[in-house]
Amino acid sequence: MPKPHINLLYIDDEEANLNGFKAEYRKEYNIYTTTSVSEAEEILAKHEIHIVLADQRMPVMTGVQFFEKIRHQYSEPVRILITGYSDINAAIDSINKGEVFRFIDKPWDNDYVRTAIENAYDIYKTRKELRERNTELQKAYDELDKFVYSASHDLRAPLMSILGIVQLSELETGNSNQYLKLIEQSVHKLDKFILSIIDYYKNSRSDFHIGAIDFNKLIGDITESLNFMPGFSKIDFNIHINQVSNFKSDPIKLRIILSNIISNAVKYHDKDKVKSTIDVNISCTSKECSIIISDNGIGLKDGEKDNIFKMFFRGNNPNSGSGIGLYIVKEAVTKLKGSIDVESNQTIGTTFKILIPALD
Amino acid sequence: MGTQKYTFVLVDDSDIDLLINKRFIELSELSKDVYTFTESQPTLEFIKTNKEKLTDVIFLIDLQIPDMNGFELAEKLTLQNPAFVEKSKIFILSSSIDLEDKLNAANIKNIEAMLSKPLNMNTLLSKLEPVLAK
Repeated sequence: MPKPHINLLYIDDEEANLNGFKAEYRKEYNIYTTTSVSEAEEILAKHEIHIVLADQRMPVMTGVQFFEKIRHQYSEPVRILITGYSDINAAIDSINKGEVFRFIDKPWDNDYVRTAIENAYDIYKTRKELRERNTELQKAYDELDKFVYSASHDLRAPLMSILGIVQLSELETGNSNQYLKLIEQSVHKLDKFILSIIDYYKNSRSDFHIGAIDFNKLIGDITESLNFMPGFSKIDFNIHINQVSNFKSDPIKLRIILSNIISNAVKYHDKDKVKSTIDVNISCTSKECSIIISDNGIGLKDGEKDNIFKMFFRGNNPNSGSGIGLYIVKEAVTKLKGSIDVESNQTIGTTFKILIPALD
Repeated sequence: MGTQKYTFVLVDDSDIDLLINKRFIELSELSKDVYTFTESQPTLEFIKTNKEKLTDVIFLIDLQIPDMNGFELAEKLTLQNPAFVEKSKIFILSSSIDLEDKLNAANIKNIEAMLSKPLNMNTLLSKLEPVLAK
């Protein structure tokens, strides 16, 4: 098993102790030593120190005082106190107060020190993982909050429309066909929102499924699945796929990315233009794939470009969706270790450029 | 009945809901003048140009409109046309069940009430008629 790269800081007023320590452990750990408190703080500021060892008996301040001084600003390194037997009460006290993780008594036993360092590093690693988990959890909480808020509106809105239509049709007779049409629209709207939540779930929770990507088939499937959309038949698709070699990635995530962007291009086509076009250019090597999707649709308004990838951001447009589609796209691109850029204005239309590296 | 003189201004990003609500109002015979908007800017411009001609306007504003929320639009309307809004009534209409929104509605003085979607005859008559009768 390869040894982890452990960064140690050892502060002691006796150079001989520092040198002896270095001589014993320099091959195993990355060691910083100093006799001065201020230099110790500089080292802590500059380097990612995992474990700090300090001698208790130092002229300027004791080891425990040193730990007290640094523990708030540098809370991450695990602290180990080195002390002679006569300081035992100070050591016990500091352990009980939680200022140090271990103490090592002088003269030290090399294997004992080794064990103390490895245990301290385990603590460091565990705490770090815990912090990372907490950050992830916080993000999940925030998303859930937004989700509940959005769902209360977006899931209910189409249902309330339908309920309104039903109540209206009870008051009127003869218009039932028109009302059925409206109900159908509302059902599609609700279904689309539910599907996008499923996409989101698949994207954020599921593991990678790496496979060979056949872009011709993928784009064909996507355009076929969108042909129910209003205005679809009037749009000219220009699809150029240059895929000479095998390209591996996650087909589910790629489908989510492409189908969201293409369905947006269909949805926001410009009805005032004589001809609506969507150009899909895909160029692929075995290492990387470039995907460019351009439309001559209504484009983004000023200020929208920076926000379109945010969760539940909805464009300034009467037909804007739930604000979840492009958020999922961005998340999926990030998971595939790729990048996405958008260029858009209201006269020319919108272009998305995506770069995706091959995954193994 | 003198209620026909009221003018309704509906703002909602959903075309379907605009259509439904407009038809409800027509059927209720509360008014024949119903103006519908899907965005806030055109609403503000419409009021700015026509406020001299319009009297006793009743606004039904959806909570979620594309570029701002319903409360913000109500606030802008009041700010730009204080005397006009004084004589008008603003209702916020929403399918949201979020409590904070409802509390907000109670706190903003120019907003008459919060109405839940769908707008139906009973809501219309029970909530609007007391206001119209004032």
